[in-house]
Amino acid sequence: MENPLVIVERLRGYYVGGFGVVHGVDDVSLTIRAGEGVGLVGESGCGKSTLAQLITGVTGPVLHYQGGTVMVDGFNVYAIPEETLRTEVLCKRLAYIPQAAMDSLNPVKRIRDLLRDVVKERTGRRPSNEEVFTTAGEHFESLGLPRRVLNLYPHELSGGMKQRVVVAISTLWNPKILVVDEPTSALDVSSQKLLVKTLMLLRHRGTVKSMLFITHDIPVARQVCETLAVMYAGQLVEVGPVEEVLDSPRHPYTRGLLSSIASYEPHAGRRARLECIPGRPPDMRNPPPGCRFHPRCSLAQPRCAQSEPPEVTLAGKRMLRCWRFSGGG
Amino acid sequence: MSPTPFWLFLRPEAKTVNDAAAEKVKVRGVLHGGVAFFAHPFVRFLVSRGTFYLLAIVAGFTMTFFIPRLMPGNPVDMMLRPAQPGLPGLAGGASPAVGRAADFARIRAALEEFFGLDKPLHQQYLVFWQRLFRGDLGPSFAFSMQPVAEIVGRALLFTLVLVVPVLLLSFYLGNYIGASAAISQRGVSSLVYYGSLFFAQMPFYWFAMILSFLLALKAGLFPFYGWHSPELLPNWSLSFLMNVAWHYALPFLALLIGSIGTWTVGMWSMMLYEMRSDYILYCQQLGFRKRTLKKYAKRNAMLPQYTGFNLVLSGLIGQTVITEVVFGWPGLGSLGYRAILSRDYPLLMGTFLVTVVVVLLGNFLMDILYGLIDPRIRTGYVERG
Amino acid sequence: MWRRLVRDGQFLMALGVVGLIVGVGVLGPRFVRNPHAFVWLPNQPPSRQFLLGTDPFGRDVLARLVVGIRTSLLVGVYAGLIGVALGVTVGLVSGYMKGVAGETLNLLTNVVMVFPVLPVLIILAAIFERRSLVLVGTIIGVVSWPWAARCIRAQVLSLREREFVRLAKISGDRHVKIAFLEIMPYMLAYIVMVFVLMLGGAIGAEAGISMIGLGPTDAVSLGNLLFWAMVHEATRVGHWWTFLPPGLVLTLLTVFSLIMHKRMDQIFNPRLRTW
Repeated sequence: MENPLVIVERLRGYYVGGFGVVHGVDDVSLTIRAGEGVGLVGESGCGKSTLAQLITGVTGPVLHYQGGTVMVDGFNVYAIPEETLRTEVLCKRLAYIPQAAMDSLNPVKRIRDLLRDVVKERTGRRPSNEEVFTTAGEHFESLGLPRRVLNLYPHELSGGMKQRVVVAISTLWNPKILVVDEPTSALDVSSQKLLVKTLMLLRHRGTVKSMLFITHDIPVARQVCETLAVMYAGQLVEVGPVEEVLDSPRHPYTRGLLSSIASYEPHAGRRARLECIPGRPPDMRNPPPGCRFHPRCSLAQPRCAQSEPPEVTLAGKRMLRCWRFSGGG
Repeated sequence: MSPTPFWLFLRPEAKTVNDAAAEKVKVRGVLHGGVAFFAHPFVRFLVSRGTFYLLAIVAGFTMTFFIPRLMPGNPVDMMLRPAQPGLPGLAGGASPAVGRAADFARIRAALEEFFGLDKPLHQQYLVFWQRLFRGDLGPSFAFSMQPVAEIVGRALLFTLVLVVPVLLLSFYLGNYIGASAAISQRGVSSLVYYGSLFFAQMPFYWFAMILSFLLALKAGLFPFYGWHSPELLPNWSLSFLMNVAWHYALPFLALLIGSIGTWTVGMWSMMLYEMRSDYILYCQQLGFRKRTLKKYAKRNAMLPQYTGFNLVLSGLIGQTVITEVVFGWPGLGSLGYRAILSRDYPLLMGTFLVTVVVVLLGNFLMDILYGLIDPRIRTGYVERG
Repeated sequence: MWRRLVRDGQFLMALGVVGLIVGVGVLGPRFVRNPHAFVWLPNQPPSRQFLLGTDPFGRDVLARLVVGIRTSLLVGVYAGLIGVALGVTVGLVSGYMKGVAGETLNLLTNVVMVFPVLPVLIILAAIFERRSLVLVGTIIGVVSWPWAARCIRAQVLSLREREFVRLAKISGDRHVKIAFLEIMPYMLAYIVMVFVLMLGGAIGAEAGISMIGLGPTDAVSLGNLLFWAMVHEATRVGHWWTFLPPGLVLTLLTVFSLIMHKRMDQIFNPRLRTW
């Protein structure tokens, strides 16, 4: 692992709309180094996708960047003009693979027509069908997709294929960083396997150097990533090497999360029980004061309700946001 | 590589689109073509819609057959009652065709023959359909027993001349305004939306009266009534046509503005919806310019608008019919009005039949058009893998 | 759910406007002069004594307008009730019954829906020589029910697969009981919505057939007022007070009942909101 490719510092982003103001991401700091795959896990609604979108700089109509910095391969995403972001960062250095890939392809355009438009938007020149078929076709086939899908409409492809097509399109310019948002959630098991293989292939070939892999699926994260980041209520609560975090979780939330998941644990035996974390995730329009997890934490102390614990790095590799690990505990 | 040959779509089980041996595939295509033709999704679509509209037409015609026969009393009597010699006529009821007792008897005989009330019901129904296929819609009582079909045919032209341009022009203008408004500033956006809602929901014929008041009376720019100035005789000269166009302007404008409102409201919502869809966000991630994103959204928002043609056509026909009455434009509306005043049932039925056929045919055409435009209907099979 | 509705600004405003007009229609006739009597000189423009002037017969236009609102509302209510009754029944049955029954009813709904409303109304109304309010309302209801049926059917289809219905089925309840007891409460909000929609449409439809002379006989309705304005060529002689107010009230009624419907739709059927 070498120099950092993505540096996120104290990033904040809120959703603003008729429903009020929702704290999507509050004070998140994260570093992704070259060659590092970072898995981002957490409950639904904790802010994983929000963080991903904020990192890319393309936020959509309701999400608003509120503060903090995001450096992507030397580019300060929120300080550079939109044009630079569009031409230099997106697709070229950082590619985003959206969650609902099914709906991410324009339904009335054939894949090759979409690609022709993409190239036109990026380079100003509209390539012919042949050109697209040759160059993009090669790339598609290297990822295991038959060339002929280029001639098809999205609705003629199965769900798994659509997801892999989206991966292929996003990686056409060989971006160094891939932000993958829950790619396996909507797929059946065999499609999941194919997709994970595709992603690993990309990393293995060296074109994609780093990845932010957002998922619910902890076994897959273990397989694909080197670092695991756990998110709760818009903040990172624990970050560390994936095996260490999964084998010896320190944050109460991580512990609760891992013990509430049924997965194949050969050493757990029949005696292991599924425990769930009591209570519900907070309403992000009014996050709880102090530590956001304290209402549901069995180890909460009075201090937890009063002030927010800072991010603390232990032994250079583990980051924790919990009063039990910061000074004066 | 050559574009995909169309006939390959004739094999829904086709897994590959660029099979190696084109010859082999071609032969297989022809053989399978006959049978597979009906399995093709688009053909199936055509057949199902066609049957549906056929059913609707038959239902409509049958209703037209039954209505005068379900009225209390004899329809012929009902028609002739105000015109019987010796009886005072109702306001606008007496037909100028009825003069003397001999004429009266002749008319009565013709009408009774048309309705055929002495025959058993199923035979009447058969005769009804026979006549329809011959294009015979009966005699018009109010028009001195001329064939209804001819009269209605002429009126139909006048109505279509109003309806078709309004439909087409309002579609493009309305969608353009709707799309532009949806992506503008909030204030302008809301103003356009509520304004269009008002124009869409108001009775077009009421707006026509307002236009008439403002532009014909106050500004003196346009005429009040008729399709040509009374002192001119109809002919094909340019000056006469200009005169007709001058009379055409107000009804056209009234219907146009109302219809534009209808399309704008729909497009506004669709555009907002599309701008927030996932594929727009993804394209943004791929580095699209804002301009192209708007084009994408507009194009996709238009698609469901095409399905709105059917509803808009139905509504427009209703509004046009009444606007014609307001302006004295000799279309199906004015004809129907006259038929109602003179209790001329054959004419009324004929007008209704033609109106319904026009609307249903229009709907069918729109369905076909939409089927051609939306690739999801044209192609139907899903790749495996 | 209902609580959110009564807090919605747009809905309240629309409800206010509609309520005001309805209020005028319900209570107004008590306070105005006789709409049928010849009270003054004909063709007078609005003055302080006659706020909307007089018509060519010397009748008080304001009085006629107020009474007209009431008549149109009544027709609208009758039409709405019939339309909702038919529409809900057909929609419920066609949505709930799988198989031939459901499909046939759905086909019937679609066939009736494809006909242009006004021409059909004209042909039906032309049968009758004298048309009462109830008759006109019934005819309109009989022609407009497919739209209601379609809305209801869509809701039923989505509700049918929900857990509580399955539970009722398992516990052995009969279909009819399930349909009415389990599904209906959810449908109530939707039915009210559909009624509001039909009301707006029916008022417009009444205006339409009145304009062609087939409205309620001997009744003063908004459409009727427009009809007489047309017959007396009000635009040609500049008597704007005879046609502008009725049409305006009509449009306001339709527009705001539509807005009410839309807000109700957004709140009862949360989909992708367009914030």
